[in-house]
Amino acid sequence: MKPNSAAPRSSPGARPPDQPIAPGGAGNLLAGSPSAGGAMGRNALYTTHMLPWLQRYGSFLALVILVIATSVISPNFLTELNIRLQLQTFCLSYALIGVGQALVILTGGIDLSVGAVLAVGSCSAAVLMNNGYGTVVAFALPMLLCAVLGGFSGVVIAKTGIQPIVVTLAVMIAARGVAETIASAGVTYIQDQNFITYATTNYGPIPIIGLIPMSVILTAIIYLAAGFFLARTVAGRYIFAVGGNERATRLAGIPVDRVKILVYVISGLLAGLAGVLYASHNSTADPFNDGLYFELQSIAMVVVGGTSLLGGSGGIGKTLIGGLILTVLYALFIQAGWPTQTQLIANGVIVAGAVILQGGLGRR
Amino acid sequence: MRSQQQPSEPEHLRAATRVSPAARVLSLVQRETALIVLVLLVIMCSLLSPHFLTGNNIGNLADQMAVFGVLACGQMLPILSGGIDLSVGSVLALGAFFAAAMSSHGIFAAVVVALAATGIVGFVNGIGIAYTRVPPFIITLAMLSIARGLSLQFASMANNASTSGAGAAPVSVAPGSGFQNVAETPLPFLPWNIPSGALIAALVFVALAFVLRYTSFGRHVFAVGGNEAAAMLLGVRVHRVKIAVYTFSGMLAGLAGILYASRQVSAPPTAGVTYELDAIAAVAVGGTLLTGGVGTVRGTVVGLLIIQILPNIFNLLGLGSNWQQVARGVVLLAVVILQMVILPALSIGGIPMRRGPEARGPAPTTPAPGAT
Repeated sequence: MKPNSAAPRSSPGARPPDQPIAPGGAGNLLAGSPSAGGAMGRNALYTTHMLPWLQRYGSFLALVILVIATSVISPNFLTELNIRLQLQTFCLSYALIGVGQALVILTGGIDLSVGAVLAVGSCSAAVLMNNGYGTVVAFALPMLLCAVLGGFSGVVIAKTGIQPIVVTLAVMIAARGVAETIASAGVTYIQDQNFITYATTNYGPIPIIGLIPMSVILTAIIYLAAGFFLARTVAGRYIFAVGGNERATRLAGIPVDRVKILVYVISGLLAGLAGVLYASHNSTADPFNDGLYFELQSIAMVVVGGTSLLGGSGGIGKTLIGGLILTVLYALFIQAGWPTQTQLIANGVIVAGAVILQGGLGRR
Repeated sequence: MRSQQQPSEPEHLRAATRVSPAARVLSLVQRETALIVLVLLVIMCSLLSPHFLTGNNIGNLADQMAVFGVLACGQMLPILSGGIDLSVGSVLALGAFFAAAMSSHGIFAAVVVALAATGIVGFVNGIGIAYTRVPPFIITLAMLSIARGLSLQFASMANNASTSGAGAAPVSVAPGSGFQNVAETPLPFLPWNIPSGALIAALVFVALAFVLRYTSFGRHVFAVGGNEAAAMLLGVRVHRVKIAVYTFSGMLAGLAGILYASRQVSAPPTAGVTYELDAIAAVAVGGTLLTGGVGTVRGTVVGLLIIQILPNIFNLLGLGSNWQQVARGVVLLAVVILQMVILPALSIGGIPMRRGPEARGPAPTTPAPGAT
């Protein structure tokens, strides 16, 4: 057997069980033990004999079951008003950052800073609006600022070998401070009425589209664009490649650093947009609490949807289903009258359960 | 070169292995980066503010650091084994709750129950991590959520039992139980106002350093973190080590919760929110690699000091707390970059760059002659 340092290592999830595991690597901290209990194969408590189609369509099935369960418990669930409300809530919280997080996780990284960057977006939008800069600037400038923050993370991660968890943790801490500095007055109220309703306006007269709030339309467009980008463009394939086997991708001549920087920039950009929409909907910007724990929600969403934390496997559609599952789940909690604490408990159990059911590291 | 009959190395070898003073210094700097940063920071702070090195301020610092210190110790074990524990903040709240709730039965009962309960939580973490292939990040993330929900639930149950319909309000420590003294009594034999909580934290540091260095369990933790398959093949009981590591992490988080409850004289169910991140930051700054297998308690102490001194000096100088946050993030990043990138890139010996082979291609592997 070749010594560790010389052996070209394929991604841990696909490693044959007799190769030694090298330390380090982007996904190592996030990777579970590939050989639990024995050096030669699986001894884990779950079974690997699940039907393949269950793994493919399991999350969609879970979503359907959840929707049925919720509509049974509460007959109002499937009404137009409620669906619109649920979708809007989803789109205004973690839908957009879920897309960015999915892209980052697909490269084998992780972005813990999205919540704080969202706060930067919301606070800068609030401050800009209050100083009379107009809607266009209030959308563009925060997004730009957040993209720069994301780019900073990406550059540090790509050019140094430091793990994404540490870098984005540091950026998260710093970005929270940036948000607090921007909104130095604390919770900031937005006075401009047009801006406040922006996220929830419908284009009334237009049929069908007129029924859907603007934020939902925007989110849908972004999901479609991201899905197209990931599945049908060269850059999208590069993202999968980097996540699947970074060394091989680098040796194949693909600019791995640029790909990594790109995904973090996109993540920051979308977090900024999410922040602006968030501020618009709430008509306030709270630098301390905006986006708090949103990063965990976005990771949960991506993971429940079936994307592997090691990168290289997953997709936007899966992430969408994961997000919808969480949304319906939260609606179920509220409809069933469970208090906040139970929601938290169930949230944790479900995320862990979803990952366990996927076979630990997701399907490759 | 004639071979020489000497008990020591032949002369040509000695010439080849002579280390220049510059290389020695650089090697020292790389190994002790965090410590040097800390020393510089302390010097800078004492120059910036005359209040920095006063007994009062040191006492305050020690007080704040007691809780975080124990938490960072608890975080060190999972990180050394190659994992991570995101749930320590929520487990702290659970520990605080149990300590406060049982405080009317005396200090001993409170401590024992709190440690047992949080130990069980950590045990569940450990079981999940050891026996499924789910990454520790996800399991402890789920536990963060679960434990937070549990602490909210318990708090509201406790309040409903005593008063009617109080909801999730903080549970108060029973007055007169002496529980407050657990962390608050100033130590009589030191010139500064350092409370006993700091002594407890110091004892935890010493105990952890001893365990990591002189017990086989400690060696096994490093082995599992360094190369898990190799450890398994060597006969290390990886499962037991992992379960133990997360159980201890839970118990230490519980101890931190006990100290917290003792200081605050109450146990709000929202205690410890985001504390886990500070613990991870302290451990990372202190030189423990997040991939596991490398780290020292001394380094963690230094990292903790760096992370805690910053808010302290900002308060003393009257600077806004906003910039404090930014500075903390920047310092964390800077120290980590310094340790992991800049210094190893100078090709000095010392702590090797622990990046996987796919990260950079062939890395420079020429250690300085004579460097350890």
